Formats: sequence, structure tokens, C-alpha cells
Amino acid sequence: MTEIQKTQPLSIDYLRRGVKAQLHQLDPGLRVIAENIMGLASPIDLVTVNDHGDVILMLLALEGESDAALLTRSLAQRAWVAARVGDWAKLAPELKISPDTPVRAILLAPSFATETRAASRSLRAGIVQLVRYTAVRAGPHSGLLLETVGSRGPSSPEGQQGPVRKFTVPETAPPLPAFRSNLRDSDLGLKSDTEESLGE
Amino acid sequence: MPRNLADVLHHFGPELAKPDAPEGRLAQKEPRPSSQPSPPQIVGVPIGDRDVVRAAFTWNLAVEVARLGGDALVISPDDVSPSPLWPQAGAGPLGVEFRPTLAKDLKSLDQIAREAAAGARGGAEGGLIFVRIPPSWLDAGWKNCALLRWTLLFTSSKTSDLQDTLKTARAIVQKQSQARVGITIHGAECRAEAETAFARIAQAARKNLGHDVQSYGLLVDALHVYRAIVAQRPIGLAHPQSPAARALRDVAQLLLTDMLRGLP
Repeated sequence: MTEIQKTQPLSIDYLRRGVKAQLHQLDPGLRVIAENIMGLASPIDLVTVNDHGDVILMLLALEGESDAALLTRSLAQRAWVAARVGDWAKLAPELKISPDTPVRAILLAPSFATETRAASRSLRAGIVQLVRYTAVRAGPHSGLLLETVGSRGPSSPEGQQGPVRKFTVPETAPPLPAFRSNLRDSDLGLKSDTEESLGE
Repeated sequence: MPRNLADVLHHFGPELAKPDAPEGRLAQKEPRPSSQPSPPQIVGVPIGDRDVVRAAFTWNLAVEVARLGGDALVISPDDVSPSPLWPQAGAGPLGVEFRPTLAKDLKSLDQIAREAAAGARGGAEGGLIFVRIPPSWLDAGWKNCALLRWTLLFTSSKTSDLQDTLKTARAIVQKQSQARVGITIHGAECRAEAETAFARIAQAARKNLGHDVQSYGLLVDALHVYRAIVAQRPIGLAHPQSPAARALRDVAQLLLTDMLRGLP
């Protein structure tokens, strides 16, 4: 029987790839439209859009990082993105972004302090969602367990964990690191990438 | 059609923030007053003694970092003056300095790089210090070697080059298990070729080294690159709209973004 062990993500890049692979745990309709992009003075880990066209930012924290600072950063990035969503919708209509709905944020961290949970609950419903992650390894496979935190319902006492939304052990390793470049063949004076590809 | 929002974001947002405003993840880990600039980070670049092309890429990347608002310094253990690899020693375009050293091994080179980073802490705005590492020195690495914590490897998409690069990555990871090993593909004839080459080495690194490498885009081997080498003039200043300059700028931006994130 394979033993399941708790681990720590090796890096923020590793964590981002893991979250990306497990987005369906949060909302099967989420799709990533940008990752690791420069926002207001710091990067935004993932920019996603759901089935309704709502833009949802995801900001990640490693163990030891401040969850309170993550919340502050999410609000700043949310404001920064909100001012640009209209332009993005016009420029890239195929992304099906709804420019009129509020930008939301999902924060993922190993844990959230009582103050952070209380602060997020004080915001308008749906604006900020807290998700606790646990990195696990089972034999050669590794992945993330995602658990929503801080139910908004009036019956949820202060600081109590919300219901577990989904708790599954992923069966595959995180995807391989992605090739990064903001340039296309036309920017580089190269022939179209549809003309020829290097096969193995 | 944009493939990714990041393709178009720069049209609407400000250019990459200066590294003196680390209000993101790095600042959370090591809180400090906002008036204090972040120290420059060291990027080790394995470059052979006669590898003029990779040296040119490195020098031009340093200039692009400066164009994007960061500070940049290039350090290289060269005892030949003038060096066939680099421009004249001292401050060059946009304040980018080339500093030859007389380091004779990885340990002394590491010490020199650390001192340069510490010396820049006071007045500079933070940025990147590119340090040429003679590949034969890599075997002498050790756990806390600053030069190996973040490295950038240039490779073409040829299988033989990718294999050599994997060997270099292995030497780095064996000494520094948390190393951020960056890969920049050069000389590809199209983006898809570079993507495929990176995917091959990323897969091989995970399988054979148990380590993930990081993509730092692609560079083109354009005529401008070779002209710039001969003239020892930065491509980004001589031909700022050329594809070679655009590619360098893109890679420099990726480096600066990761600099803001700090090291693993």
C-alpha cells in the first residue's frame, strides 16, 4: 500500500503548476488565461475566467509567507485588474470576459490566520475566497489537496473551517514546466510556427 | 489572435515595475522598509572561454535589464585583456558594467559575486548580476554556492546541445538541489521549435534529475546579433526594433519578474 506523505511545494512555480492542474477542484468551469503576469508591483499567479466570464485572480503563498499580506495584495491586484478588464474584453473577445462583473480573487495558502479569515468575510460576498492547500506525495505521484476555508454563512462561527469542498488525491504529477515567451514568430521575424515543427 | 492575456497585457499596463518596489512575495518573506532597495540577485551563466555568442547574449541581456529599469552587472573570470568575449571593462551603455576578475576557481568567483551583490545593496536599486562560470568549474560546486542558486543555460534545439545542457543542469542540481535552472533556447527557426526543445529538456530533467527547469524564452540568431558582437554594441540600443532585440527584451523581462519573486 502506498503511503501518503505531506510535503511542501518546492517553489512558487511548482505550486502554481499544481494549482493549475487541480483547478477543477475549485470550479470545473475555470480556465486559465494568463499566469505569472506582472500586476501592480508584483506578479499575479493565475488569471482565470469561469463559465460566466467572471475574472478570478489566484494568488498563492508558500509556507511561511504572510496570509494577511496575501489578502492585501489580492485587493490591490483586484483593483488593478478591474481597471483593465474592459480593455482585455475588447482586445481579446475570444476570451469571453464579462467586463461588467466584479473581479474576484481566490487566495491559496497552507493556512489562514483568524484575522485574515475575518477580514475576508467582511468583504462583499464572493469577492475573496480562501482556499487552504496541502501538498501530498503518494509514491511517485504528487499533488495538492484543496479545501475552502471560512464559510460565509451566518451559522459558521468565527474562525471555523468551512465544509470541505473536495478532497482528492490527484493521480498525476504536476504538468511539466511551461515554455515562456510573450513573442510569436511574427515578432521574431521567424517563419510561422504552423509551417514546421520539430518532431521526435 | 492572442493565445494568452500576457501577450497583450503590456499594451495596457505599466512596464515591469522597478525592482526597488518589491511589494510582492519577496517582501512578505523578508519584510523591510519600502525605502530600502532589494539587493541584486546573482545569475550564474555557464559560458566557455571562447563562446562568443553566449557571452554576447549575456551582455545584451544585461543591457536589456537596464533598459527595463533594473541594474545590471556582468562579472567574468578573464585574465586576458582585452577579452575576446566582452566589451571593454568598466561602465558601459546605460551604466551596465563589465567587471573582469582574476578568480581562479568557483569558490573565489562565488566570493567575488557575493561581494559585488553586497556592495550594490547600499545605493543601487537592485537588479541582476550575471556571472560567467567556466563550465569546467561546475564540478567544484557546493551546497551554499550562490552562483548555482540561479543559473541560466543557453542551448540550441539540437539534440547534442540539449544533451550537453542536461549534463550541465545535472552538475548544478547535484550541488544545489533547490537551484533554479533557467533554459533559454536560441537559434530556433520558429517558436514551435523552441517550445519543443524546451519540452524535451524539461521532460528529461524531471525524469533523469528529478528536477524542474524553468523556461526563459527564446533568442534569435539574427544578423544583428553577430554584427553587435563584432561592433561590441548592444543590440537593444543599436537596433531596438529588431527581432533579436525584442527577444532579448522578453527574456530580460522574464528574469526581472522572477527576480521579484526571490529565489526558491
